[in-house]
Amino acid sequence: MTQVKTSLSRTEAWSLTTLSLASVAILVQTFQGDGAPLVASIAFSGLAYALSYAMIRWLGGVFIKAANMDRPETMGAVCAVVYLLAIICFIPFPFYKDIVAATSGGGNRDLVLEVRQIETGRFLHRFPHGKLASYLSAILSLQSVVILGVGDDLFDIRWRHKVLIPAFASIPMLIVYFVDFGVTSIVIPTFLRPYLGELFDLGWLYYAYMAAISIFAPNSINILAGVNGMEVGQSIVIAILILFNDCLYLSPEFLPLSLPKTPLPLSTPGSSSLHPATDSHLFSIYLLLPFLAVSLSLLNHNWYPARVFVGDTYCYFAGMVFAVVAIQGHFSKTLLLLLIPQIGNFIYSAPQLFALVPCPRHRLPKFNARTGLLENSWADFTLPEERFRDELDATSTSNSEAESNGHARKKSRIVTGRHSTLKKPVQSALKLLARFHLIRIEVDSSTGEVLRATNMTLLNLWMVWFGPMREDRLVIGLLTAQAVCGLMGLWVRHRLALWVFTVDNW
Amino acid sequence: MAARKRASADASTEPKPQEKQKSQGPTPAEPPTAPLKVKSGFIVKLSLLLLGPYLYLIFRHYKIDQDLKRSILINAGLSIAGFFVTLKLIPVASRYVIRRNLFGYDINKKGTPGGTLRVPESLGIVVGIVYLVLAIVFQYFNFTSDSNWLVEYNAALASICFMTLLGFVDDVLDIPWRVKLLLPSFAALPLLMAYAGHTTIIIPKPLIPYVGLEILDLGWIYKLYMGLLAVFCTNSINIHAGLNGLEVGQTVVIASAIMIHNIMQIGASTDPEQKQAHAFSIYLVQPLLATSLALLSFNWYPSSVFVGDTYTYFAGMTMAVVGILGHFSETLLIFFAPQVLNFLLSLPQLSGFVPCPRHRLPRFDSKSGLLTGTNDGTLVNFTLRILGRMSEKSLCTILLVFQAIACCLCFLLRYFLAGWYK
Repeated sequence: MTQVKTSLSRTEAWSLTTLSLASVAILVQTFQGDGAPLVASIAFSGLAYALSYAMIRWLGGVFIKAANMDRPETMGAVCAVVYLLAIICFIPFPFYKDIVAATSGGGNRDLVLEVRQIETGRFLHRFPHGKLASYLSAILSLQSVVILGVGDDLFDIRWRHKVLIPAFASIPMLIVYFVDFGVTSIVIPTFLRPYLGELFDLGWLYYAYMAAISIFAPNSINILAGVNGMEVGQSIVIAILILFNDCLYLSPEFLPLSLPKTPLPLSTPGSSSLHPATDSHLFSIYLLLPFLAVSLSLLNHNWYPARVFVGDTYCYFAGMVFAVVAIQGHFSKTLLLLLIPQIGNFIYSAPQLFALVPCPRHRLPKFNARTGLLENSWADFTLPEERFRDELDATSTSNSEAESNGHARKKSRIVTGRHSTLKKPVQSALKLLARFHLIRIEVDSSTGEVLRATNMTLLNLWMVWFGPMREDRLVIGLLTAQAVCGLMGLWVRHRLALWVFTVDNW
Repeated sequence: MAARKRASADASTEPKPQEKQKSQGPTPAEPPTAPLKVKSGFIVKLSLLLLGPYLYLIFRHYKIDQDLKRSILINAGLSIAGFFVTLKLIPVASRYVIRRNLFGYDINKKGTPGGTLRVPESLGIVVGIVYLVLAIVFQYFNFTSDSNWLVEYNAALASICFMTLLGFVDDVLDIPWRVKLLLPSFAALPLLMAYAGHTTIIIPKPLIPYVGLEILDLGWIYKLYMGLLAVFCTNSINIHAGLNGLEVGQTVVIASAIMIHNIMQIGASTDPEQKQAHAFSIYLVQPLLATSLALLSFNWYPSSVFVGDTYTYFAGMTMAVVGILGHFSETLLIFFAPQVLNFLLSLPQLSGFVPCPRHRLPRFDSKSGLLTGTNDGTLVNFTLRILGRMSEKSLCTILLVFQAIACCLCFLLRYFLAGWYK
C-alpha cells in the first residue's frame, strides 16, 4: 500500500487560507450590503475550492482504508458533498429578500411593496419565491445521485441497473416541474408551422425526454474515461462552455430577441425580467460556479500523474449537474450540442458495446513501459488454429468423395493463412472504416481477413490519428477538441436558431 | 472493503455497539450469515397496537374534511406499498452488503451460536431510499397545498436526504465521533436556509407577567434551536441503542405517537394553517412508520440485520424535521423523554468525568442467556439494575413499553395543561 500524503504543504495551506478568508470577507460584505447573489456565488465557489482541496488531501488515507486499495478511489464523493454544502448555504442569497419579506409581517408591509416596484438594478439577480421549490428539487436530485453513485462504487451494481440510476435521481426534479410548472409543449420551427401550428404538446413524452437527458449525460461522461484527468477535465470544459453560453443571456445585446421558446410565465411577480430566460440562465450560473470550483480542486489531485481517482460517483455527479441546469434552464438541446464528442464516442463504441465486434475486458490505451507513452489497445479476433481445423474437418466430412479433389486443393491453400472470427460483412465494414482512417486494422496477407483492430473508443481513435503519446498530452488534445467542438456548437446554435425559429431562445 | 474494524479505543458514544469484533475476512470455513427471518407475528401485533388508536381517530372520532382525508389516505396507501417494497428489498441488499464485508457480530449473544453469525450492517440505507422515493412521489398526489407547501416539503426532503447520505458515508468510513456529532447540523442546513416560516414562540401564560410579552420573536435564535433539535434527536436515538430492535422500535413508537398527536390537532383545531402544518407532518411520518415496521420485522430479536448509523440518523432527522415544520417541537421533546433521560444518565461518561469504556452495554451471560446491568450510565443498564437480570427480548420490550408510557403521559399532560399553559 503506497503511502499517501494526507496533509497540506505549507504553500498549499497558506494559499487556501488566504482564498478562504478573501471569500468570507466578500460574503460578509454581500450579506450586509445589498450585494448581488452573483458575487456571493463566486465567494462560495472560492470557499468550495479551498474546502474540497483540503478534504481530498485529508481524507485520502481514510478512503484507502475503507476501500482497501492502493490509491484513494471514489474521491468524487468528497467533491460532491462539498458542492452540496456550498449550494445549500447559498440559498438565502438569491432568495433573501423573498424570505425576509415573507417572514416579516405587520409593520414591514412596505418592504414587500418595495421589492415589487424595483425590478431592475440590485434586485436583478434575485429569484421569485416560486423558483425556490425548483432549486430545492435540484438539490434533492443531486443528493440522490450522490447516494446512488456511492452505492454503485461500493457495491458494484450491474451495468444494466447502473444506467437507470440517474433517471431515478431526476424524479424529484420532474415531479416539482410537474406540480409547479407543468408546461410540456414545445415551439414548432417556422417552416413547419403551417402544418403543425405554433405549439405542440408532448405530454408525458416531455418528461420521458427530460429523464433521457438525465440518463444520457452522466453515462456519456462515464464512457469517455479511463485516463488521468479525463472525466474531470471534460466536465470542466463543458461547464465553462455552458457558463459562457449563460453569460450571453446576461448581456443587454440579447434583449431584442425576446420571445421564449417554451411558454414561460412572462411576468412572475418579483422576477427580474430583462429577458425571461435570464432567470434560468442565472440559475444555471449559480449551480455551475461551485461545480467548477470543486472540479478544479479535484483536477489538481487527479491530473497526470494522478494521486487520487474519481470513481463513478464523479461521473454521475457531473452529468447530473449538467442535466439539472439544462432541464431547469430549458436549454437541453444546447447541452446535447456540447456533448457531441461524448455522443461521438458512444456511437463509435457502439459496435463493441453491442457485441457486433468482440469487446475485450478493457479498451483503454495500453501503457508501454519502455517508451513511457500510451499506445493503441487492440481487439483480437484471430481464429485459433485448433478451432479452424475443427470447423474445416466438420465441413469436409459432410462432403462427398467426388468433390474431395477440389476441396483438397482449397484446403492446402487456406491453411497457410490465419482467419478471423468476424463475419464477412463486419470485416468489410472495418476495412471501410480503415480506408477513412477511422480505425487501424491488421489483415492477414494471404487470407485477407481482419485479424485485429484498434479498440473503438475516442481515446484510441485519437492515437490512430496522432500516434502514441504521453497520457497528459492525450488528455490535453481531447479536451482541446472538446472545447473547439463546443464553441462551434454554440456558434451554430445561435446562428441557425434564428433561421429555424423566429427568435433565439431554447 | 475491509471488514469493520472498530479496534480504536475511542472512549465515548458507541456509534453502533452491536457489532464490534474485528473480522479477518472469511475464515477457511466461511462463517455462517444470520438467517433472514421475518418476525411477522410480532409485526402484525405491534402494528395493530400502534395503528389502532390512529385509525379510530381518523375514521370515527374526528370529522376531517374530505380533501385532507383523501390526501392522508393516499399517503397511507403509498406507505403501505413502501412497507412491502422494503420487505422485499432488505434481503436483496443484505446479500450485497455481506459481499462487501459490511457486517458485524452480535455482542449480546457472544458465547452462544448466535454470536458467531455474520449480521449485515447499515440496512438503514434501504429504508432511507424507499422512504425518499415515497415522499418524493407523494407530491404528485397531494391535493391540499398552499403556495409555500412545495418549498417546505422539498426543503424537508433535502435535509432528510442529506442526512441519509452523510449517515451512510459515516457507516462506510467510520467517522470519528466528534465529527459525527456535527453531521446532523450540516444535514439540517437546507431546512434552515429555506425556512421562511415564523420564528416566533408563544410565551406560556403563567410566564407572561415575567416576560412582559405574549409572543416573542426569536429570529436567528429560532434557527439555532432548529439546528440543535436536529442534532439532539439524531444523536439521542443513536446512544439509546444496543439491543436487538431497540433503535427501530423506539422510532416506531414515537412515530405512532406523532401521528396520533397530529390527527388530534387536525381534528380539534379550527385554524387552517395549523391543520396544514400537522397534515404536513403526517405526510412525512406515515412513510417513516411503514418502512420502519418493515425493517423491524427483520431487526427484532433475534436480529437478522443491523440498522447502522444510517437508520438512526435518518429517523432522528425525519422526526426533528416534522417537529420543526409542524410547530410541535416541545411535544416532540416530551415524546423523546426516555432519550432525554438516557442522555442525562450518559452525560458524566460522555463528558469524560467518569471513565467511559468502548461499549457501555450490559454484560451477557452465555449460560443463562440473560443480561446483567453494569454501572454504565445508560437507560438500558439502569433498567437492568432496577428490575434485575432478564433476557434481551424482555428488556427491549420493557424499554419500548416505557417509551409508549412516556408518550401517553405527554398526551395526558397536554390535556390537563391545555387551557392553563397556552
